[in-house]
Amino acid sequence: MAAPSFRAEPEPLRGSATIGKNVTITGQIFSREDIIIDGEVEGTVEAAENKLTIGPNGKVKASIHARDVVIIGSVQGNVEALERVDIRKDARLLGDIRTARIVIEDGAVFKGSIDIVKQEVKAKPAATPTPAAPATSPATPSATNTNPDVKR
Amino acid sequence: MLKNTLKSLFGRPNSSGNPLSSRQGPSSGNDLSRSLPEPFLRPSLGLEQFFSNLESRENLRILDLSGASQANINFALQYGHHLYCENVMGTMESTFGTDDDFYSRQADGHLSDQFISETFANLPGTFDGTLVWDVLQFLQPPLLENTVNYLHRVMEPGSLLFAFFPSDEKLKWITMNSYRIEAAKTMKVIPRRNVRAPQYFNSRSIERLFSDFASVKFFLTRDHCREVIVRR
Repeated sequence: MAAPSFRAEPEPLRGSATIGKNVTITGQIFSREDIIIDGEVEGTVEAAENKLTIGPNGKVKASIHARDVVIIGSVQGNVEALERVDIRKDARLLGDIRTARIVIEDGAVFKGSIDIVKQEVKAKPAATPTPAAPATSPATPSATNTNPDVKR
Repeated sequence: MLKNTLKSLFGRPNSSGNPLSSRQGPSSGNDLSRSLPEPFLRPSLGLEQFFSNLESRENLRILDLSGASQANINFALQYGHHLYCENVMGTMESTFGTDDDFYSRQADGHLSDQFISETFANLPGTFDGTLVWDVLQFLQPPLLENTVNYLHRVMEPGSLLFAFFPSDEKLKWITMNSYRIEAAKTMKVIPRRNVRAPQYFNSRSIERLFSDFASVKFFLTRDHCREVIVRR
């Protein structure tokens, strides 16, 4: 009997937001915590100081900006990561990458350019003005949402 | 250990001198379904020449048609270049299939246009170096000429292209491979599947293929390959 094939499921992290596989979101996502997208997203995803994981069922059509980006599913759009982009086996990325470090596994499909940027040395934060920040992970669910399943 | 390294570099697993091809036709056994050789290292003067032309400069734009791999990314980026990855073999297979009609489907104008569009439409501008590897040998005319024309368009004047073709005209089948850069003059060949050998390329036909380019330089290898460095 052939061994069943398994896809690596993203490990739900404590304190991370999850967009479940039956959720579709059109719009902007801003997150101040780690976030896992296992559903469909179209728009922009921003988690500048956190880790973003596109799960095996994730289909993201968006420009992405995060500290670390792990792609297990499918992404169409440019990816900018301050620290690292990790493209796993079976992942699919069509878009340009701008990051300090990239890891790509054999079997991943990637079409696009890679720009390695040196990490800036973080200056001591000088009383940064807090923008009228969006709430944590204020996903903007569209009317196309099916079975909203956003866990926080 | 040294012995093993030399063996992997210069080993000749079959009588034709090329571990990735055979002169025996399918009538002498089903060659297309025979097991694939293990990945092996292959020395390449063409690859060495390609990178030696680039290493004195930084911030060049390199186009790699073999798809993305950690080894190629690391190698190109260590010189401070920008890399653009395009998986031409993947596009070929998704467009023309992987069965016996792989070559005949290339005559379909609609599919050929789709292949060209998927390969070249999203390329951002022009490039200072292009790693074509052996992908051109799998394209049939007129798609082959069309693809070379597009490569001409996306290359900067004076920039280099690295490609290679089998130089044994009696080959009946060849292996589609993935290529990883191990060092400036060594590539790792990872066999993927066997296919019927397409058309044969001699020196004259390669020169004709790149007739719009400034020059073609040939490197003959021990494993019946004709490597070329083409200057735009």
